[in-house]
Amino acid sequence: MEPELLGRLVDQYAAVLVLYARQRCETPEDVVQEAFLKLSVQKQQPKDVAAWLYRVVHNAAVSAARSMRRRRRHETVAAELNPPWFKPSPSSLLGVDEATAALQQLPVDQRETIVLHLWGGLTFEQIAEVSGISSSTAHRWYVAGLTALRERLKI
Amino acid sequence: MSEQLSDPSLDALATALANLQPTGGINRDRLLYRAGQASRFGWVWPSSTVILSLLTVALLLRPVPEPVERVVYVAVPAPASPQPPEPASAAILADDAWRGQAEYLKLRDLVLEKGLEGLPDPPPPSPAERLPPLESLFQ
Repeated sequence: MEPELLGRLVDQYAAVLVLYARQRCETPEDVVQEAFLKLSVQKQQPKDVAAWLYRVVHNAAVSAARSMRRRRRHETVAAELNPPWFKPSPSSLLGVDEATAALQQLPVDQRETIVLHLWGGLTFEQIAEVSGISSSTAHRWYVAGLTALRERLKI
Repeated sequence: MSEQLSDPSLDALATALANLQPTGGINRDRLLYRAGQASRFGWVWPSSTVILSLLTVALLLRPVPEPVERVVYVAVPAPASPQPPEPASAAILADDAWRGQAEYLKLRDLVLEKGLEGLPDPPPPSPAERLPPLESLFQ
């Protein structure tokens, strides 16, 4: 893969992919970096690069979370990492901390669907492909998640 | 970007959420550098793994040659009975060509064995070999 193309993909997808991976694991940057490295050595470029990246990041994040849980069982002290999910923006209607806290309380499937649709720009059909569910289920999770967020954020 | 929902308040919430910018902790330069490394040497490990795997399988599956038992008879010469070594001078005496040196070798053996004192007295000189008296030479 050409470095220019890879650079463009990093610029376009890296931040959202990190947010997506963060829903499952605590090392989202590593997971996303490995996904891009995997993409760079692909002999044939995937047909839908975005969907491919989300799928690879999803699998790696699940694997990383599993490893983290195994490791934590043997550790007495676990470092609590809670970096901000969003950049602070004074013009935003929502507070960054409040939005993050509200999102964190949602079930992981709903969170992932919201991240993929709102920030990743994936359609429900694409989300269905990435997550291995039907598009109607993806839509249902999305609406349920937004409804729960509205209640928590009192909007 | 998001699809319209039937509830406008949910749409407003979706728009507000979508305006938040995710933080991206990816070091772009480092990632591109590692990608360059991976694409340059990406074939080394897979190919070496394949070669070593094939070699291992070939070594495991190769036909092992059956050991052949052979009996080899080797003729061993009978050891010669030990004989006392003959003295060098006696061996030389047996050969007529070396007879002239026999006297010398006898004398050498005698000197090596007993020293100069062991030498026999020389035979008296013949009258022809006898030297004239010293006074006669000055006359």
